[in-house]
Amino acid sequence: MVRSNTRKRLHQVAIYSLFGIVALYTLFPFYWMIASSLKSGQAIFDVTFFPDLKFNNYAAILSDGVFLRSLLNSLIVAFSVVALSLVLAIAAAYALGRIDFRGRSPIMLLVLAVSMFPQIALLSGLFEMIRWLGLYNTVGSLIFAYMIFTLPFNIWVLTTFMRDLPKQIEEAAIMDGCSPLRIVRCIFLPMMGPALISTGLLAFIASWNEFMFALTFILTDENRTVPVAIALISGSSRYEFPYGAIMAASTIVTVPLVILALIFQKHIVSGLTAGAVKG
Amino acid sequence: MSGIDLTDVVKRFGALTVIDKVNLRVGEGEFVVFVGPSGCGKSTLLRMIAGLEEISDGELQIGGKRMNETPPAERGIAMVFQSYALYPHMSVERNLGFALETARLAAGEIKERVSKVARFLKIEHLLHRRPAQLSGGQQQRVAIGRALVRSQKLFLFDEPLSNLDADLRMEMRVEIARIHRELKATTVYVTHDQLEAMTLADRIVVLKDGRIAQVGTPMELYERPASKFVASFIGAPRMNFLPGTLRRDTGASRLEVMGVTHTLDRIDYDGEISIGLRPEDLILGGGEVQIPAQVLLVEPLGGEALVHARVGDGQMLVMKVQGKPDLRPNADITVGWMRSKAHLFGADELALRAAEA
Amino acid sequence: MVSGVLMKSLGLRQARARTAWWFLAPSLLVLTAVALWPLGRTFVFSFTDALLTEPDFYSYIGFDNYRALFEDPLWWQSVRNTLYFTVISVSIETVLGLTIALLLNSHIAGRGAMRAIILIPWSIPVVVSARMWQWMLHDQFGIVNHVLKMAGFIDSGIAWTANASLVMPVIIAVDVWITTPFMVLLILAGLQMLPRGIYEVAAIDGVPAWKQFTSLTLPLLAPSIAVAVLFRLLDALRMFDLSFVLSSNSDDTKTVSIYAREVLVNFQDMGVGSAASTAVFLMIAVVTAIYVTVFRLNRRLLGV
Repeated sequence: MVRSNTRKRLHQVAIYSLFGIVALYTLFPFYWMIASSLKSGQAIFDVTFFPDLKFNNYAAILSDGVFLRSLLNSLIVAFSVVALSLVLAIAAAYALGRIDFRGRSPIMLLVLAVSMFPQIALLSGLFEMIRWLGLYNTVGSLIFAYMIFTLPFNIWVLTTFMRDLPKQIEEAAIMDGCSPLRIVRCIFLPMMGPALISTGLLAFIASWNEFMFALTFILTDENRTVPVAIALISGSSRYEFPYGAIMAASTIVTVPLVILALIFQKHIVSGLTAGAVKG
Repeated sequence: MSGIDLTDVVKRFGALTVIDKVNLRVGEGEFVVFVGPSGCGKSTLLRMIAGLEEISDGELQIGGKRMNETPPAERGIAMVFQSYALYPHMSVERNLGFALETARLAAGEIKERVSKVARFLKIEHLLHRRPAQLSGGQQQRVAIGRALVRSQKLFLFDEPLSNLDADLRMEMRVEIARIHRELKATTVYVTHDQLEAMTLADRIVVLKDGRIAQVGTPMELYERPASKFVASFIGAPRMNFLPGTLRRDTGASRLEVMGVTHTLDRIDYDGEISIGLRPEDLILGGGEVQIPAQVLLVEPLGGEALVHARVGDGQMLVMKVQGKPDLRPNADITVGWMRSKAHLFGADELALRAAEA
Repeated sequence: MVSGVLMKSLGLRQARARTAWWFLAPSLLVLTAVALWPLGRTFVFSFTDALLTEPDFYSYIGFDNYRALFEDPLWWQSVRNTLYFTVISVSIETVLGLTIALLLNSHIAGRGAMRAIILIPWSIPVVVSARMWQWMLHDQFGIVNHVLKMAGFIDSGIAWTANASLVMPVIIAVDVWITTPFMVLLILAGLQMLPRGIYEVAAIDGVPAWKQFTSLTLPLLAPSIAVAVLFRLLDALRMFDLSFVLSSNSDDTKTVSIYAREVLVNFQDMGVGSAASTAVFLMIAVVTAIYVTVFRLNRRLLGV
């Protein structure tokens, strides 16, 4: 009895130490990023584990018009992508999830295939298309280009969700005289809250973080998004690299995402697994 | 004008025919119940009337007008679903008024009609709740209310009580009967429960494999089932069937069952038949025809009891007797019946009738 | 008369089908414009001498671009880099992901918090992660070198991202940090779908824990792991940001995506760039096809 108790306790200690190691490994880089961002001037080059809570780096980065501009651009792009991809995907998901028509399975297959396209394979064709649409070097080019990874995913997840909504509710609405558009808008949409949060958040995170298109389709500083802005911050020489400013900018970009991820943890996980398990 | 006329109506899913040339007239104000085992096509037929299912062939008329291509909302129909299908994110009030809202009625009129229906169904106190906050019976009332609000002349019910427990089911059955009595709307009601059919219907339509097996009033179906199928479907406990042989003679027929032979009015049939006997028509130790049996089990139900007995080599019978008979398992008894109460079915399972004199 | 009515109004099914196409039309249009058409154009451009500055003027030059591409040793190096990165990082992430997922699946306090914590590295921009690690791995002022020096392992700072033999392992390590959470979450979801009853039966039958793991958990979990690995595989094969930020000019970490973009944008050579893009597309398609086939085959062999 005593021995099994000791063993149990040892087991617990082992598990919690593993927890601790994983947590430290996961979180320390963040801590270090934030701590470094709060050290002013040369203090960043002294390795001390505790920050001195100086906000110089933040003052510097936030008075930098280019950075603020890129923050705004990122917000515009992310929100527009979420809105546009959701509206398009909801309509498509109604068709694919609720209506049995010829062409349904080929289209589902197409959607799945497109979600697997490597972005680089589209780059030159997309470049031509964006120039042709007159979107080159505008945030519009990114809103357009980001449809390639948000739209198929959203269609896929929302279709599986829409398919599981009760059939008789839709029939009751038909008997009540609703057009398909009204069914989607007044009946299904309010019932899809969790799925919309999941897909919307994942679309937001993906567009907020995207780098390659943002680097390629935007030419000038004032139209850039934050990932590119942060990647392109550089000093006059290798030894004057403004790490304080970079860490401050990174913190500003990261904190909202982390808060979103923590609040909507369940939705994000269910969105990810819905995409993967049913995909 | 809300009678329904179905003429040679057919429903096919690919190569499968689920409704096969159904002809039926439902008169104005009539309460018609579709019954049958699952898969008989009763719900499909109802959904075809509603417009939720396309009609492959034949014609549907409502109030004398062809409706095959008319959208559901324009057929003058209200429908109550098995799962209630209430909109989960709307209050009861909005659920009730949603069809009127869709039809762009004035807010004042919607409110007035909703509260009138709520009063009629005694659900005024629930108006501001959500469906999830209601009991099954309350949800059912709201679902009925949603159909009533549109003040249509034709109501369709798709197994509306099958999700309720027994007590509530009886209460709602009475309520539906009251609604029909007061509104006098034409009603088509689908159920697999013969008791609901018997108690509610003006006429019952028994369906089997996509065809109408018999149409008639509940008593007609009970007393003169057209086939073995209808006979076994209507009435509870189920009708008993015993094998027998019918011999045609001049002027009369002789029926042999379990070694006992008796004469009947002449029936134009000769050969093996099934004799159908309702449990309530069997008489313990009496009757014009009597056969020996052995008690297997007695199930007392309070005022009456079900006696399960074995006759011949393994044939089972159930009979309903008053009170609690003093019978032990394996006791030898005689089971009998009046000749007029026996239902005879030929090899094709259709009812045999005495030839007209 | 009757046939006139029939002509005028569509059947129920046809009306529904027409609605479906209307609802799908905008999405199909966008997907065509953003994916199908560009993919086709990339393919077409790979046979031309188009320049990025003047994409409208080009002539067809057959397979010259592919010849040029396949004769470029740097292309083959980036193929090797990509495959090396993919195989090593996905393997580590799978093993680590499975371990952490099993850990989080045990019923002890604090696992909700742990699940939230591991979401963080995945949710932030790769660029930020790269910058963060770049700073931590700085040869003079980085915390990693500092700790190693304090512990006495090294005397002078290691140039993690400048050293040709270290930079790829560093990139793999950072990728492991970023994407292991994704693996954990997918495998955890798979774990939570496993029927609980069989473990109770196994426990009653006295099946030891490790045997429960190898003969129950692992085979039942295989499909979940396989799907998660496929997702990671597709992602790793097109890796771009991490290498670009951590070691943009190093040939030792150049991936095929970086190579293709470099030819296309920096050298303005749309022809060879498109040929490289097409090659990447085919490479990923082939790897996916092989993976899916092998997995199906395995499934049939194992009878899972």
